[in-house]
Amino acid sequence: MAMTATLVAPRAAAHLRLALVGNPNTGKTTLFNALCGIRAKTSNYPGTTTAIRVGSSGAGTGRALDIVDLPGVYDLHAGIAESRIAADVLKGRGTLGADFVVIVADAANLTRNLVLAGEVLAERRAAVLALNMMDIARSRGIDIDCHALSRRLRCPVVPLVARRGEGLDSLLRAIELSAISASEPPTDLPAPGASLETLTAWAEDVTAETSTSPIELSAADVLTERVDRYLTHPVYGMGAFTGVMCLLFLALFTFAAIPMDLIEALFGRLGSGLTAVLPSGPVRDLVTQGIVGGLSGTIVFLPQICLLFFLISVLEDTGYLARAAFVMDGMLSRFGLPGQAFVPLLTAHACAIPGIMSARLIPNRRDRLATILVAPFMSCSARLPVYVLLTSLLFADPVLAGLAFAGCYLLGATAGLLTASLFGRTALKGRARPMILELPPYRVPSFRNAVLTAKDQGIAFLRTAGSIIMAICIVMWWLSAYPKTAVPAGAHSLRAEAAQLADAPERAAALRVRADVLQSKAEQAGSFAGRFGHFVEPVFRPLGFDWQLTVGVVTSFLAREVFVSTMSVLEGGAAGDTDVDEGVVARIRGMTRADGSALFTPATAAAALVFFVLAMQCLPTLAVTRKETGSIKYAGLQLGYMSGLAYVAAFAVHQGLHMVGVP
Amino acid sequence: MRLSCSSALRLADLQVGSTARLHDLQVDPESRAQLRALGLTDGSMLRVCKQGDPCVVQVRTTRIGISSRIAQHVFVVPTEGRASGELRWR
Repeated sequence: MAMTATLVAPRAAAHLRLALVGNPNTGKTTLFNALCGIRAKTSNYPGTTTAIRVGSSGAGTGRALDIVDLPGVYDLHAGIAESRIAADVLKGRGTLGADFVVIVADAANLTRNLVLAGEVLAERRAAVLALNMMDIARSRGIDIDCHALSRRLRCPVVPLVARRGEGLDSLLRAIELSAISASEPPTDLPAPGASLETLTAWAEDVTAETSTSPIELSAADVLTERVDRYLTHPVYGMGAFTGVMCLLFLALFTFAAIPMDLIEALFGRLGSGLTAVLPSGPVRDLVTQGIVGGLSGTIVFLPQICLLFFLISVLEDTGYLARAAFVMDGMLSRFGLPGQAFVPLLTAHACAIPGIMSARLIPNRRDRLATILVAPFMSCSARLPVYVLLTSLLFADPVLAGLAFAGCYLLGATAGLLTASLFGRTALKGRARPMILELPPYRVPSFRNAVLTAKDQGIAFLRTAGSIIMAICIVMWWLSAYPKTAVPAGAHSLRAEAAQLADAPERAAALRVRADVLQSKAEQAGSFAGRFGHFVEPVFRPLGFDWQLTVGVVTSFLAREVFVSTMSVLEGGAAGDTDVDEGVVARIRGMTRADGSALFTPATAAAALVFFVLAMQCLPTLAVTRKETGSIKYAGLQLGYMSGLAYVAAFAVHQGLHMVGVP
Repeated sequence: MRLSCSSALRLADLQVGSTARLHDLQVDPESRAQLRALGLTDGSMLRVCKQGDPCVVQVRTTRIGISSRIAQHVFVVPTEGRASGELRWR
């Protein structure tokens, strides 16, 4: 016991720590959000990757409440991480040990929820049973006598409709009262460690004694059954899924573009403002190019990530996600992936980092690893500007360019699925475990839940990726700005010439611009990144890349979107070009090799495009893979396999096109 | 596959709308634990809502989607009618 006492974090006596425990889909999170609002923090349970939300609420009680939202579990002895964490917290162990428990139960699903309630009550903690979704139970014709239930369980029972905030005051009063006087658990309770059959028999007995329900199926059940037949149907279900996904992506790209443009414009302003204020020198360059660039490069991804999680939360709340998982299971299981993998793979189309993080919802470790390993093959939004640039270089016709663009997404997804299949036969032996999933009733989604999920995920992204991306941007800036090279003789003479043209200011300005271009080109070539590009150029020569394109590939290893600005600088444009407009495309199209021939021949552009679709060029993703898998081995496998595949595929494309006569 | 009860059938072979009592789960331990947690304990009553992939069953008020690869290995004993109170969906 002394051991346990030292593990419990010291806290003010006035604070009461409350744990919310319940089955999945009981509205536990809705209740948590209603109690804590935005004052909640998500963090991993110590020593695990299971996320736990902790918040506080002072409403209605004399004492401040710290509230721990435990992951949804069906029983405390299931042998999975979530059950172990719930059992630990309920026993008062660890830094989150609870003084007090609120068991959240679905009133429309009383017997099954009472199984968990029985296990919790057997732990002899002070507890309140929150009977949520009373409205759904009533609409099904289920009538529960809360007083009888309270007498039988010997704990307060509070009816709730958490979604509408009904019953919250009574719940807080019940918490306040019970915290002072915990009563003994019921005497007929099965002993701790009883079998599920014993607990179920007890729960059935309690349900029969305290509630009545109709013998016939309710109209809602009949309707749900009919809708499910379509939504999980191999053909109609796939059609519905495709429709929902098209709408989701349309909404994602349409609405996220507005704040993304705004963020870029804002940071552009900030950069030029600081350039004007700060004295010129390395500090100004570090601040305006390294730090502001890094901040902008991180925050620009936020709108897409938040919006995506908002939409996923809405879909989850409606109950559709569980059906969609079954529709996808038919297809994904052929490649050794579980149906649940579709959420991480979908998310990875915005950014691989939240995609990999959302793989936590897959229960089986092998299935989770397979999903994490292939998630970065999905075309994330950082690849987008590169696709736009290279497809417009490849095809002047916008329709063909658009098709090539869509082809890139398809190529990435296909490569991911085939890789999962290959890993299922080699590194991760075995097939995906067949899916078993509760199909919750269809419900109107909660806007509040969706907003809070988006906020939590946005913060998690900034916390996980923000500092890494920031550091990388600064290192990249340094590598491409240092060592400083001498101003080339050509630029000197152009400037001297301009100085003498005092009577023709326009011609002088043009000459100065040409001098600046020569200088920035020389600086880029002489920098560490430029020298490294020259050094490894022979490796990329078989793909049709010259040293400039190699520098572009090397610099984008740390963040893909840098490719456009690197190529723009090498061509001689302004360093700030990250938007792909016609001017940038035209200038990059005009780039030449050392021998004066065109750099972006069709074969080279196609090879570069394939390379960018398949290559692992994102250090932050590797860091997250390492963290989520708990081993650097999988990050190494991801890097080696993806880059190797990208090289081989780009080589095959380049040589293949040459063979059929494409220059 | 060994069958200890001659009247037990595969869940996947049951007709939509029919009811049955769970007899045996001949599946991997992880899937078994998951099915039991969702309410498919020994002797529990279920109703078939949909066949194919997934097979959907209702146990009390819980609807569970089960991959057909699992439903092949779930053995049940069909029951006649729903006269008894045990079949209340709660």
